Amino acid sequence: MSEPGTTRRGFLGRSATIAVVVGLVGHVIAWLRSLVPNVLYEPPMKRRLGAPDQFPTGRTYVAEHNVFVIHDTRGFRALSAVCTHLGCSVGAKQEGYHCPCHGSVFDAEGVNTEGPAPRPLPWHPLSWRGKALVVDLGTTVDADTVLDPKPKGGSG
Amino acid sequence: MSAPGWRPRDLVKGFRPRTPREGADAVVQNFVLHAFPVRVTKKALGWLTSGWLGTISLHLFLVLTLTGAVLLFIYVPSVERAYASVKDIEFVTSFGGWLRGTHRIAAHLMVIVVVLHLVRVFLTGAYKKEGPPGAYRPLNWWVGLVLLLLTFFLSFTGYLLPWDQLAFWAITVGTQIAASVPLIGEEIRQLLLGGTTVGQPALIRFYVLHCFVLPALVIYLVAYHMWRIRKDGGLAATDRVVEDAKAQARVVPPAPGKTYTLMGATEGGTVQAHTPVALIERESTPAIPAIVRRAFATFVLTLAVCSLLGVMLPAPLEEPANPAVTPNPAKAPWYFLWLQELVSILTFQVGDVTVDGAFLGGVLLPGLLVLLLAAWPLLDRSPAAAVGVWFHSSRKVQNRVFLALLFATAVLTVIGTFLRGPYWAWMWPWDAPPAPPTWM
Repeated sequence: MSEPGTTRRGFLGRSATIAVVVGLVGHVIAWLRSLVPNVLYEPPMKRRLGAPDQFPTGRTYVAEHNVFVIHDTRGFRALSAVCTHLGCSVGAKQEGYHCPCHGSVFDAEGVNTEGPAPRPLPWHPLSWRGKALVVDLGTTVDADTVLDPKPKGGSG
Repeated sequence: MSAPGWRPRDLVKGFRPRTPREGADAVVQNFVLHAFPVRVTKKALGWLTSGWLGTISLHLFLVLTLTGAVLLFIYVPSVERAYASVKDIEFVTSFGGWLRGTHRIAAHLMVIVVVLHLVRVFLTGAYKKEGPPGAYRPLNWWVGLVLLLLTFFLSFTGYLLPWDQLAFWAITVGTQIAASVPLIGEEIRQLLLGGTTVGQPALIRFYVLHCFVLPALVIYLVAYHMWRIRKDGGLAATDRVVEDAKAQARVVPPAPGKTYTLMGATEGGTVQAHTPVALIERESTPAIPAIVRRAFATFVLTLAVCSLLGVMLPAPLEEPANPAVTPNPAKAPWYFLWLQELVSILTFQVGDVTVDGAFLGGVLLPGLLVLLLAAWPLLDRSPAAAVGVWFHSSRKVQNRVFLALLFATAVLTVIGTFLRGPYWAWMWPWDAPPAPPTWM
């Protein structure tokens, strides 16, 4: 007699158990993995904002892309309007920004001063595409990154 | 046509088989006879014993399934057409607004009644592990907790479907709270949304969860939940009836009628085998028609209340979803407003460190509450005498703590619902809404 567990019946039984477990786990993994999208049909992160004359000195809200364009003597900057707390769109107030969802307050530079927001509003890089301003919502820059008010090599 | 030995009127008139063979045939072949026990204690049938809250929860689920099935024929789950199809239901379809109103009210009521059901089970100690041989009630408490979470999640997923401003921003805020889970938060959010923003993939995911996955889970778990009640020897209040009868020894307990176990495969036998019916003959009544009549009456009442409220409180439909404009204030569904209030309160600065309220109030605290509820049957040290008794004296402290937590949740919900105005600032109901700022 061979040891229990070394019989042919025992070997086949264990093999079958492992095969069934691997098969079931494999299915579950495939189901879950299929729910993680490989391609996102979302709008690209680089958004064309339009000609610079649409952004007079001061602050302009671009609702479509949820971003504030700030135009001062140094040039153009773009401040995200997405609250760093839970993703609502902040509104402009006289000095700074105010989130309608949970009352976060940001100063004129987007730094959180009151309420639940854990971080300052991020700044997005601006660039020229021809004579139009383009914002990249996918990356952030520090508050001092300013875009020159004239397109590179353009006549202005 | 009917199964042998069974006529429809037996369900309401009571079933009196002429021969033992007829009785056995009927029980084996009929679903309702098989689903209910032979006899049920009068105590367990009492309106004040359980409030029939579990039954009413199931009735509400049934109302939701029926009205939901009708709405399913008209609703189109695409971001281009969802809002218009709900508007169609509301203003064009015959009785559409009423059906949608009834569906919405039944969903709100189900959240309330399921919570009250949990409160009843807690205050009567009906989840306790002490019970008759073969019973293990904590199991049904855990199944019930999962059903409670499913109820919240069902209601939450239904919230997005109209694709109006209310829906869009409640889901934006709700899924952002999920994103505050450490390390895997953003992955959870994107798995829920099927992308990085609330768009078409999010709508179809919520739709499938709401209309298929979650209801299917509820149906399976409810079936198991109800089967467990019988395996645990009936409602917890039954324990006291049996114990009293034994103590008074009006009837000498005969030996268990059934000495065999199920197909010889299990040890110990069932609760029924250890609780001779003769012992509680006087305190009990045939389950059919007693349960059937009451279940029918509560269903009709539930349907009537939902239908009436569905007319009186029509479901709102705001402007179409607009990712560029956040309504002010943007509120989560009312049963999550205590969480939104916690999220708002629990974010504060300690020196340079900002405490993240979204994680504390939105994930950690509710998570701990659910864990505490789940662990409670194992931690509860009150005696067996407290099982099935309202406010038993040995449970004074835990009942008070439980009610205090419940009260705190209710207060936060009321504050979030009625006392928060624009920018989440405190606002009494009699305060005039602030004038729109002139610089906007």
